[in-house]
Amino acid sequence: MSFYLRTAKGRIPQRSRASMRAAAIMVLAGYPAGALIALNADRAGGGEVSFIIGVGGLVLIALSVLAFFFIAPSYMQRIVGEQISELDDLERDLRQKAFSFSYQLLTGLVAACIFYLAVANDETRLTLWAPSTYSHWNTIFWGVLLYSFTLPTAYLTWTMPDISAELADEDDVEISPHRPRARWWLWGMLAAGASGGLILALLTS
Amino acid sequence: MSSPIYNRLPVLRAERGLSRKALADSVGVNFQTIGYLERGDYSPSLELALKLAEYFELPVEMIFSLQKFEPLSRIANKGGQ
Repeated sequence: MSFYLRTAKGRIPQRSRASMRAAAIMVLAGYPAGALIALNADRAGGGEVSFIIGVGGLVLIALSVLAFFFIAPSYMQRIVGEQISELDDLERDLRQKAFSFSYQLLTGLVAACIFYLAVANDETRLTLWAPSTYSHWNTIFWGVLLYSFTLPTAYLTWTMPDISAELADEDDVEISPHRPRARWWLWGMLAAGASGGLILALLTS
Repeated sequence: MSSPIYNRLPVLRAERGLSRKALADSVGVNFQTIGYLERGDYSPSLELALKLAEYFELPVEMIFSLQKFEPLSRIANKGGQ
């Protein structure tokens, strides 16, 4: 699953490889770090110190989300998030490699997390922290979503050759003369999910 | 591990005064793909190779090769001898 932010005119802003790498690191490292800091701010003893630490965590999370929106309209994100029919030979090939890598890494991470949760919930062995509240699971959900959107692009930022110097004269290039049709089924599913969640929340409150 | 595929795309493009964008539009790919092809970072599919051959009106082996192409200056010198 990935996400690509298509600009209104169909133009793709040029991003240097270094800036894409920095943004990917910010998303992949900044979000978990920010989430851990924000969720554990109370451990500092409460009061002003905890508040400042909590705000620091939230700032890190905000920066990682901003970094994602820096990546979202880029050429590399287009390769992993655009409709497949809009991609050419090379882009499809790169997409397959990026998804393959991300699948391996994400399944490894999920397996490690489930193993940790299993151990953490076994009270006869170790006393480990395990997510229990809505805030914990909400943070994990957005983290997994952000990782699934960013991992394939992060792979491309490290593996795609840098040809930006050769292409400096091209500026912002319109990739396709037409904009592909909106995926109404996807937006429909999202709207249905959001409506269902809202109704459930109202019924249970 | 696949062997590299060498190509004459930069020469052919320069010969015809084409930009990457113009060539890319003609064969229906992204202009950056032409850049990757020219650098040898990417081997084209058979379909793309045939489209390029058709566009340049040349046999495909004149554009792509598994061996390095001989420089044109050397070919010209041989012809002159």
